[in-house]
Amino acid sequence: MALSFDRIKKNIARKRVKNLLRRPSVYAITQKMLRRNIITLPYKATAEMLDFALEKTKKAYRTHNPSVWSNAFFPTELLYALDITPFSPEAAAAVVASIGQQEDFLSEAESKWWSRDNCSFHRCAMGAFYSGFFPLPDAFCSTTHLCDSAVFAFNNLSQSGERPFLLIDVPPTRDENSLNYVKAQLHKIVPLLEDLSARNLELEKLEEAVANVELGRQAMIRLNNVRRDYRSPFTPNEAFIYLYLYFTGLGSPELPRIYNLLADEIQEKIDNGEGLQENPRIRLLWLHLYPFYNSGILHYLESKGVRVVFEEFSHVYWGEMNPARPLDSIAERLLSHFNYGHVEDRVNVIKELAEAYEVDGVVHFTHWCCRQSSGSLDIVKDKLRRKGIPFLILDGDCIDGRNYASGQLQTRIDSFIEMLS
Amino acid sequence: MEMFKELNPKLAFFCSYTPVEIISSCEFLPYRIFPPENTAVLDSKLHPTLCSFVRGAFSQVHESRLDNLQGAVLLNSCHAMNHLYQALESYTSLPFFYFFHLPRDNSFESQEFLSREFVKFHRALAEFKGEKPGEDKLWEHIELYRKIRLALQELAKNSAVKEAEKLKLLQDFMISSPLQFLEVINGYRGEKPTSMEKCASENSCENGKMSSNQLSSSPRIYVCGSIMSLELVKLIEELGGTVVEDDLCSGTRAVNFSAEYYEEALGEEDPYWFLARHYLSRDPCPRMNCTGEKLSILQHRLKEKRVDGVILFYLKFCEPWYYFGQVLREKIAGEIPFLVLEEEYSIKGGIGQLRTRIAAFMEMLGRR
Repeated sequence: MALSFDRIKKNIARKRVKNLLRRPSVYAITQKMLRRNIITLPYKATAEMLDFALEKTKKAYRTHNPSVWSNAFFPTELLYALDITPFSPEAAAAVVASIGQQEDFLSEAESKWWSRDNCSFHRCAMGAFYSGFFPLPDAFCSTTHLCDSAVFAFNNLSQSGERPFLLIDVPPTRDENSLNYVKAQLHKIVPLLEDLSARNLELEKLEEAVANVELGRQAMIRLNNVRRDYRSPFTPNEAFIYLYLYFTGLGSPELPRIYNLLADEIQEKIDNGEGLQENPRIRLLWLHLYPFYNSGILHYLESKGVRVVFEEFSHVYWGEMNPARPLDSIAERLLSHFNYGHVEDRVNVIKELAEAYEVDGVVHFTHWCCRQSSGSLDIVKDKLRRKGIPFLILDGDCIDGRNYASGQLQTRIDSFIEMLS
Repeated sequence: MEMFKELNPKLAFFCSYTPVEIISSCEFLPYRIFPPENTAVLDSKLHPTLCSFVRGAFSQVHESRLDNLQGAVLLNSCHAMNHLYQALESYTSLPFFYFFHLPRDNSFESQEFLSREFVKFHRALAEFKGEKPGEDKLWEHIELYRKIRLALQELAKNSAVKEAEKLKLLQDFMISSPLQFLEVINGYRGEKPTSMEKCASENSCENGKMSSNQLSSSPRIYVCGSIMSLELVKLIEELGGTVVEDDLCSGTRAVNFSAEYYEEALGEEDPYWFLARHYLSRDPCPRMNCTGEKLSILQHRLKEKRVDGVILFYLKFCEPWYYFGQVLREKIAGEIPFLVLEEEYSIKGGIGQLRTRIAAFMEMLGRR
């Protein structure tokens, strides 16, 4: 009997079986079910992506494998080159929320100082850590760009867990001084990671990891081009599932393979007439992330004839990676994030995406207390307004449903749609 | 003395890691922004989840409350500062803006990076002034600031002066012409009491000095946390606490440079490298990657100063202090009474509640 992934998630949510989350055997069994098609998903690529995530999570729970917590932007190429398993607590928090298990973890963190004014991705991760559900890693690894919360949360957890905290400081300015600074830190962090993995970094393995990022980058660009066709059936809900691969897959061979497979499958559906038959009445670009628990916000938009055709997070922001210059390429990628430097960079990317995907408007989902994404929103709004691009800000929370007022959001969405119609 | 002529055009700065020596050597007055108590933050162009200090600072500069303000220099010391820079650049018409990154530690790589950022900043500011950056002049200003910081450090050790008075002087230092301030601070430390020092009577401390009775009987408090309004320190002292030391970027931390900084011969290396080394080795803000180091400094000081209670104040949405506060509480709350206050930069709105909580804390310390 085939089971849909959504049905499994609902069952887990109903039975509140979060104890299962910390058993590696559960991940192994789920992998088998995926591989034998007992669990069905709309895309083979998504099944492979889940398989990848389950494999990494299973390894992170097994204490004999070196594993680290890595934040969303840590260069995982270095980890793959040293056979260290990355565990993304942010992506794991999204998974926890998607199966409705986040509340206990949030409460656990709140009982230990952490207030609701803090990012709920990290609050949930801390609660899961304190409760013994997320694995204790060999180190906590973070970069400083885009997210201060991860830096401080990982640092605090490293104090509690008595594990090293490895930090790469990334300046917001892109010039030679910044590049040399980041490169110098990469050189310095390698021996620390070598100690964790108890092996020396082989240049060939690092080059291979960087080559995988480059192939993955090409595959992602290819996928994004396929999605420009209005008939693409790929939904933002499906795209956000790929957060795990995006956060932890850079450097793995699965990255290019899965993104290429996904692009092929979407193209095939379009060619077979299985995609959308009509161009949606209103097309939107979605900025930042979305509520991973069951908020129904995207379905609500669909029910109004509105389709989110692309998300900011799927944008490939970095340039070509050269495996022959692995650390230079990694440093250049770290410095190239459009959402970290001058706000004008982000505005330019939004305008570029709005044009490429022929959208009628732009929606920003503001995750409560994500200061990096929301801090300069007024400037973004003013600049887009001057360009004639309608812009809607929806305040909510990606993980903590208590900060999500569905009635208010629906009213704001309705007004926005009315204005666009 | 020609080089120390009055520095009138102001250049605003917001973070205590800003190299004021470079600014003053270019004949600008480095002027740290402390939003007044009545600064509006509600109409700020910055998101409400950024701290009220940053939103208040934006309003103050945006509403052009400062005479002869020529520009602003900001450091990427936290995300709020990054957004403050974006907002000031977008919504004000000041002729000069500069923004650069502050590294997270005191490693060789960080010193090298920061020294180069200082060079670029000096060039940009000198160019704005229509001059070439002068290293000799910079060394002279480095020396001047070193003298001031030394004087302020000695003042900070003077237990007879109330903390609110010390903090007032430290804040004056951050908005005053350095040469004039050096004269003031030297006069303040001298044998003859200035108007600021005079006590009305032995039991009174209205003008900044404490009587020996008060010193011996009142709870000895260590204050740490985000940048805070002077009013809060005054409130603690008014409610009977003796603040024996602070860890505030608007307070003693701004002058707590290493012993080497005060002792090294000047002019023997690149001035930018000298500044980078010493700013990065200063008592750290918790935004630096320094939790262990900061904890051990703090634990040592608590013992040294025989502290009875610690008051941690953090601005709502100030992540560095909020996160450090958790580690600090875990480490010391079992040993020393610990009060956590969360407020906006202007404490006016919450003054009643703060008064009650601080008074209860003092009462509890008094019973021990």
